[in-house]
Amino acid sequence: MAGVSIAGLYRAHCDWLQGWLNRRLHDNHQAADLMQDTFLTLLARRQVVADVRQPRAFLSTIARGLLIDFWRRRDIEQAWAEVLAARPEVTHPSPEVQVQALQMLVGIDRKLHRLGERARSAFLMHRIHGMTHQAIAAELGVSERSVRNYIAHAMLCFLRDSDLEPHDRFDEASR
Amino acid sequence: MEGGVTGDSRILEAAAHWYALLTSGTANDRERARWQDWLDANPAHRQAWQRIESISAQFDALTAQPLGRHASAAGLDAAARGRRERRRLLTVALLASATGALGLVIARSPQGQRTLAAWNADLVTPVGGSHATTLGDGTQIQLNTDTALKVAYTRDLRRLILLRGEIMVATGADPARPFVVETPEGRLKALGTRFNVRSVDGETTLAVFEGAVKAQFSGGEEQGYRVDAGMRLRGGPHGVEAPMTVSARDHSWTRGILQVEEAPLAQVVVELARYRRGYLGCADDVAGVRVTGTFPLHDTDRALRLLSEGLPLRISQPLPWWTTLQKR
Repeated sequence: MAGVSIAGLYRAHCDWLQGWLNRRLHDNHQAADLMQDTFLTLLARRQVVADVRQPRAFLSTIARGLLIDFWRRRDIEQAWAEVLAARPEVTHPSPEVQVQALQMLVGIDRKLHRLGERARSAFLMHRIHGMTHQAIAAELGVSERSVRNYIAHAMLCFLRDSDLEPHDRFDEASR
Repeated sequence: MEGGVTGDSRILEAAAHWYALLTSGTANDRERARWQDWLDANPAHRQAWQRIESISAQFDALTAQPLGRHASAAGLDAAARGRRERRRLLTVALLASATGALGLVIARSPQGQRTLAAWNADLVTPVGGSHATTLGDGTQIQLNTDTALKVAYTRDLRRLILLRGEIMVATGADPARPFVVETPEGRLKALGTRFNVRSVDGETTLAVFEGAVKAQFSGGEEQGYRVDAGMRLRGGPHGVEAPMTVSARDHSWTRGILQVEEAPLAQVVVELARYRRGYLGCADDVAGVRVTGTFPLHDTDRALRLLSEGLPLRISQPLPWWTTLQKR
């Protein structure tokens, strides 16, 4: 039943959705990939879509979530590659380690994206740069108590959603 | 026994707070004992703590690799910046479509010089960029950093809509068609040839170099104000300030420099921050330091170095996108 509906949605709207994605990506191959991913996501959710009254709004909400994730991954990969390119190859981590690290970074960014700039910075200074709370407080011009709150808040973002698959895509997309 | 969603949520909050306290370096023995009690009180507490440990282990794995710390910080920075940039462009695109633009031309080349082919086009400069263009009537416009401009010429009126940022305008001669610039805070009608308009932080600042401009502000007198060459006027929804004479700052940006005389450091920092991605600030105890000098706008790293060399300041940059000036 749901499968029939998805197939119907696909036939009626796949071209439109690919055009919608292409306007944002300016890359037709990439747009086609993400269009397919949108329908795969729908299938994976096993949601009854028979009742969707505004199919294009519904599809574009899912597609927007995938798009945000696509950009996130691309930005992280590019910056990572730039850092490595500036250093001799012998210092590079192995390819497997790099793939894992990039995945972790994507997951981390997904969880931190809704935090305010200060909380996000405080947490990264703490976890990535290993700075003390005191040093972070001096840097941000806030009290150590605030730093502690920022860090607790950021950690809570991870605890509330600690598996790597993004449920928050859809919240994010509808903002 | 705690359970259900609210119970779980409270346990996670408690765990996060314990984590923050224990990593603060200020926890005492009594607090550590209380944490131990909390852990033992409920298997769910221990479970939540194990999740914190596995999250911590992920970060340790990242930073333990060669280059891991640096590359991770750069990656997360790029993701946050990309998001901000896209959100901003989207806002501009939405604003533009609300006013009926046909398309968006993104002026990415730092010193790109071109004539607009279409009347109805939008110009956007990124943070740190600038762009100069000549319109069909000979009007020359220079866009400063982080600026969005819509060109809406009709048969009877030459109209520019400054959505955000700063432009220097030298109007071309066309007696039949009046020339106006609209900002979110007001409407400026050119009676002469050369003026600068800045719309930043909810205020419009007009500086006139040649001729005169008639200015109306949303919070000012309805009949408007005539601003003659050599004068500047600032206004917005909250009213209009007393007119002042133009300063070097009103036009030095067109040459890519910031020229200040006896300006408080905090003001200079706000100005430089417009040309720079990420956060730029200064500590309170140096905010009032007086600055006189000339600084490059399109190389803010160098501008900051010049500041720190000439004044008792040091640059602190713990993260690529977080820079502050501190007392040395």
